[in-house]
Amino acid sequence: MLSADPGRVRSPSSLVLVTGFDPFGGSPVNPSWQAVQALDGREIGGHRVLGAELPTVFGASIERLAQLVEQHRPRLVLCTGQAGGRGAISLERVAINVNDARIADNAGAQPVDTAIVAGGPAAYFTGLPIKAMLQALLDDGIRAEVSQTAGTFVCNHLI
Amino acid sequence: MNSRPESSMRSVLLTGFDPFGGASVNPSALAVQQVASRGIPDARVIMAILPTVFGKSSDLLRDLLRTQRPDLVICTGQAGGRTALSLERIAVNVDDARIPDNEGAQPVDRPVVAGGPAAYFTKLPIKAMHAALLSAGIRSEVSQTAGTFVCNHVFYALLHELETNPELAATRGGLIHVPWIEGQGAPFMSLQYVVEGLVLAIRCALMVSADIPVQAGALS
Repeated sequence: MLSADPGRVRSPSSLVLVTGFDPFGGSPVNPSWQAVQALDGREIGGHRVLGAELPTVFGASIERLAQLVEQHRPRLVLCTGQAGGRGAISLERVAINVNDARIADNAGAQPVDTAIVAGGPAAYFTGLPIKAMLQALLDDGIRAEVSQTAGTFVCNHLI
Repeated sequence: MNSRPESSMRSVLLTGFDPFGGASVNPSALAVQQVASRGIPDARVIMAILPTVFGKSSDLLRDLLRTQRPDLVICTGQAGGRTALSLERIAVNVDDARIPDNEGAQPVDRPVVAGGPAAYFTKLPIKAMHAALLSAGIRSEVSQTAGTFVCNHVFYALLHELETNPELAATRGGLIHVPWIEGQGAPFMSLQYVVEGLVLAIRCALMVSADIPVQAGALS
């Protein structure tokens, strides 16, 4: 029988987990982690931001995220990643159940057409209000777009 | 008694779309008409032009699937701005129209099939088709998104019908986006290459049952 969340009494819903990735593909930096670092510890709308850096590695990135979620039980999880070539902050609509790596990840793995979760559905839509987020960004003069694909590398793998 | 010689001939349903967004032509329609008149060796081609209209397009496609019961279905559509024949990997269950369709409808964040799964992967051997196109010198890519307009709408309706209609359990289908052709803008691909490419892609899809593991992903 489950008792009434004894381990979660310390303001369980006050935390926002925001993740970035470490640099990959020979790049010295990853702007996603730089941005998340700047947010770490801040308070946004009464919620404390916990920033975390994830390895750009298939498998290990998901395991680290799962640990963080398990440990902190955040109210909201926002993953960020670098998309070189895009002109705006991209709010991803859907995550698809396939790995197809154009380059090796930071541990040298380059999976092709493997499922992220064997037997899982083809895709999940995000539950975030991405249209409202898009509007808020545009209203603030920040370039933003809704994206229909997060690719097939470690970013899509994670979300 | 059922040893009809023509029964070994497989049927291919090939669709394009009518022009939309103020354009006077749609290269997908021009290309599938040419493929149909040229024919595919050892296959019967059923060609149809779908209206660029939410609902009507998928209704017409479903009717064709149920009456024709093809072995293979290749839907094609125009993707202005793309540089290569785009073999679409996945259809998503959402309509989100940036422009009105040809009847003025502009659905926003509406499911293609209410209660359907978020997405379906195509069962076409897209990596083998991609390799065949590249070997023939035809620009090709695997695409991770067919957008959220009428092409994706039809693509999702197609894969949903193939997945849920037991009479179509053996049918495979997918969507190929074609670039603009000469006169429509840049980048473009000549119509002749689009036609050659579709013929090649169809022949490959008819021959190859299990796909090959060739990388064709996107970093983002």
